[in-house]
Amino acid sequence: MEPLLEIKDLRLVFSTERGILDLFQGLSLSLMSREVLGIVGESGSGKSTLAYTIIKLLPGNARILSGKVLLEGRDILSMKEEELRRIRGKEITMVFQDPSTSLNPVFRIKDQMLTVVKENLGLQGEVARKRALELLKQVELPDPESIMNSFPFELSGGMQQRVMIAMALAANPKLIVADEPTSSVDATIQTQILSLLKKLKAERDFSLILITHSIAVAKEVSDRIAVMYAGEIVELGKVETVIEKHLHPYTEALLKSIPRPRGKSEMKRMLPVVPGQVPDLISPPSGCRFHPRCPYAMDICKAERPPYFNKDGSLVMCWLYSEER
Amino acid sequence: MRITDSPRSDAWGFFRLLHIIRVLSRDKLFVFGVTVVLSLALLSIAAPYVSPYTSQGYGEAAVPPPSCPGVPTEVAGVCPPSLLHPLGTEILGRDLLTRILFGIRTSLIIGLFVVITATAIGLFVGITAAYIGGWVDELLMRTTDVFLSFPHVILALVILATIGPNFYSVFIALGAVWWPTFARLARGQALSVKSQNYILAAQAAGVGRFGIIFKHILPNSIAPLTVQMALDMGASILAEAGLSFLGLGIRPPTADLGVMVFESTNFITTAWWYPVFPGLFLFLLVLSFNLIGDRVTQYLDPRLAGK
Repeated sequence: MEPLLEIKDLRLVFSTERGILDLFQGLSLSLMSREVLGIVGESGSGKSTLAYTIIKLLPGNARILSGKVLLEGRDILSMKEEELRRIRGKEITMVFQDPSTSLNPVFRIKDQMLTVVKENLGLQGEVARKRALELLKQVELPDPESIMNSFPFELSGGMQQRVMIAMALAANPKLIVADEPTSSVDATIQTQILSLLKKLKAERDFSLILITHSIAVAKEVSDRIAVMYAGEIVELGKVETVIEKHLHPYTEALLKSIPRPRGKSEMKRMLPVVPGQVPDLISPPSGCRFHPRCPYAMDICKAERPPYFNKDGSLVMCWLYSEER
Repeated sequence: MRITDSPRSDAWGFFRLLHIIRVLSRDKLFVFGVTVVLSLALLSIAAPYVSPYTSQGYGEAAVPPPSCPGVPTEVAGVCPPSLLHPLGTEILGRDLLTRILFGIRTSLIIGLFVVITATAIGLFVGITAAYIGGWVDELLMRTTDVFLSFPHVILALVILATIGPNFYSVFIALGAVWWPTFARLARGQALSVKSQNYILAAQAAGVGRFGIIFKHILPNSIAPLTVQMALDMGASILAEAGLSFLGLGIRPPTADLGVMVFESTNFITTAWWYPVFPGLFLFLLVLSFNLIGDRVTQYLDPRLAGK
């Protein structure tokens, strides 16, 4: 089957005041139709930048060195602004991290919802209004009528995020990219938003890329998980495999650092963390970028960047899985 | 003080404005300013319908000139306040109150026009600079700096001396010198709006350049400019009166407070009412606009909060 989205050999550079920042190092990834891919990584691992690359919405100091982002065979990265506009908000939509600042504060929800519905579905008048109400109902908002007449600041964070999701669904997109959709809401709302995404996923035909720093969140909804570290995907595999038979030492460290209820005797123990810090990408470590923090680091890790190794159906970028060892 | 001095100015929105108006309605000076401005505006709008001397308001001389024996200024038709002329009459025997009300019309029209033109140009320049950035930003903002480096009135004088004084020249001259403050303000606001998430969200939703500018940046950039408009109303009315006083602004027969004060200079020692009343109304009008702007500014300045 043809994949819906294919990222091939992606390489970006950012020119910053401190120097050149090299990202993705020839990253490749593919996403099937109706698939949910979780992208997990620390802040600064490039996961959000990857999301913005998919719709070619990059800051002015970013340059695409090489690579393709193919949506059903069409290369988004080589598209003109006009073509991009036909894809953005229609075939690919986004849900953002902070819903409280993602809605225009001076317009009522009604105005913003109707614009989206009219622009993308070509509906008018009462039909458009009905459609907007229906969308709000689908994201399980109580009393959609009064929500329509509210201004964004009158809604809670969870409600705002539901509105954002409703807007993302409006055009029946093929792909929704959710950039940390649950990071700025509290834990109960986070669970609700996740189960809403799961429910919508079951009802409708879209693929989802879920970007999050929490491997626990990614586990909830994803079919596959990609673990990113310092601008590279270090492990990519099915959810069960990544969670249960994790391969990369970084994935292992991430999984260990999930807080879980423990017995009384263990309470005093510190929560395990990944030692060290995310490397500065302007002068990244030689070889494998994780080696300074890796408990299993070997000589070769410092010298050479590991290729992807195929193990148990997962891809892993780590010398531990080299055949020659 | 400009409201750009306030660190809170980028946290502005329509609702903050509404909230501020509600709070300020309890401020005596603010209410005084609003009341004076509104009543003067209403009076001047109603002037042609209530004044018995409407034609004089439009510039016709009084025929025959009023006579007031015993007053040394009678040659010129300048008569002291009486029942028929509550504020006295002026050089052509016209009713001073009527002339003043018509003069306030001129002031308000010019003030409004200047401020609206300045806001429009300022928004255009500021938002263009902020949105496009780079060399366009540099070019537009440095041009703005050039304009700002001249005092408003001096630059307006130069323009008026070049194109010649008449009713429309005043509009053009003052409009042309008044926009830079607004451009700076609009640019600052647009820059902060531009970095907001909803702009990114709109871009991600496929909204085009014009949609971003007109639906997202513009409506969110306007609020702080409305306060600057109130502040600058007084200043531009005063500037217009000053230019007219110097003979480079409004020309007779159009009624104008500045022109009236100028004409009265020959009568300062003999007819006190002639310079005093036009000056008093000009003072009241400008004071009220400044009070409105000042109270709003003070409210916005966190350093003065709670005082």
